[in-house]
Amino acid sequence: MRLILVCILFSSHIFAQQYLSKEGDVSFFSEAPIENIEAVNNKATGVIDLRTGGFAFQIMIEDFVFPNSLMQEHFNESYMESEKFPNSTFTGVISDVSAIDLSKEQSIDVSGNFLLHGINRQMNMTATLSLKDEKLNISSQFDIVLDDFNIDIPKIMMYKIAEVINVNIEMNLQKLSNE
Amino acid sequence: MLLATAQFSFGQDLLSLLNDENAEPKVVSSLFKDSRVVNAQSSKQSSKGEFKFLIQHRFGTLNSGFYNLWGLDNSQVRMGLDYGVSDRIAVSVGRSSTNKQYDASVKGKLLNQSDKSPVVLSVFSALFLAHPSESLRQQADYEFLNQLSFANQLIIARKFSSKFSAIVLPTHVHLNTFAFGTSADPLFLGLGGRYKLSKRITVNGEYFYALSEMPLTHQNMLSLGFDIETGGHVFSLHLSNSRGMNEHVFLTQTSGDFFEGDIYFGFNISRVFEW
Repeated sequence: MRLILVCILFSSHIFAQQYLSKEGDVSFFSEAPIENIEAVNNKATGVIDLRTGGFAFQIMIEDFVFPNSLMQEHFNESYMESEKFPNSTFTGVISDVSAIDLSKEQSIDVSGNFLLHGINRQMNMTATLSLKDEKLNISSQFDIVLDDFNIDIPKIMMYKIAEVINVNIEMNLQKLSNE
Repeated sequence: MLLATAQFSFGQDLLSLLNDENAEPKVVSSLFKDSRVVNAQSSKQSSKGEFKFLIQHRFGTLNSGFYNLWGLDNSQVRMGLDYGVSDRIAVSVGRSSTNKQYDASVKGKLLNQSDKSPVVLSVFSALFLAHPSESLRQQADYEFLNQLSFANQLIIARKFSSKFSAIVLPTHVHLNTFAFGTSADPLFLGLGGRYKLSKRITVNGEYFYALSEMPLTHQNMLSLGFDIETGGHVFSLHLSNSRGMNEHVFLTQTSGDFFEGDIYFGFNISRVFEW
């Protein structure tokens, strides 16, 4: 943390207005007839630059925790192939960054490149942004179609997995530097 | 197009801020699909709070002829229950129809394969009890302790790639009842491995070499099989020259010659429960 802070203070980012978090929550939910599956990742990282509107989010796939350890193993080994594709990232820009008014909670549109299971896709999402106690809170819900990212659901599986997964993100980012 | 490129580079620059220089040591997992290679123990064990019910079948020899439907008429069964006391300690109890045997064992993981250790290192220790028949108990020289056998094993395994894992199993067996002229404490060296044919199917093999002097009829165990994982269940289909499912049986009582067709077909089904 401190190292990053120092780097930023002495780099070209000095005029940036960046917010960063290394302990965001990302959870997903798969609703299917036999079994609902839910997993949480509390180590999501993210950075938002409110001057340029640029942002980057990253999670390590192996940091997802399931209620059942066998599911977690299969998630990593058979579905996400997390040895081959260890992380997922979403990088892009906030559509109209100049219109952001941090004095109130608001909805923003973002677009960018979503990397999952080694597949890159352009995605547009909406998120909710607010500033509370010097921390930038961002939350978003969106759906992922497994087929879009080449994640197979084999027919012989004993438990069923939904073809569309609901993802929930909640993150409190701290300001890195002052203008 | 220009805009898309610009968007891409914006975020990509920021990504470098997220990479953690103090990441925790990465543990390598999923070396084997099931807790057994075929008959022998693998490096996998039940994790904390996980129950696994395992049914193992061993049929008669393939060369026993059409009359016995190539061995299918004649099956022996072991039913076992495994439980993870913690992520490092798992216990198992079972009962085999071979010699009407009860078994109890414990598997303890000392090291995970990670940036710090090149291998998984575990210890396995088991106790076997052959249920004495009424007539055996009537014999003058009958002693309960003679029904007991033991096995102690080091489990050293390494995942070389996402597809290939290998295992080395130095094993000590102690027999309270043993043939004249043979050792009560024979030693063995087991070698095994698995190769993933697809995400859910692996081919497994194992071989145990006897380091101690064994009876003339002794054969080293050789087994080959497939594991098919379906999420919660693992089906294992295999061929072995041993019919035993417990260490002291498949290590000291194997007399079939694999290459003469003394091969037993077997299958295991395991199901995991957790609550």
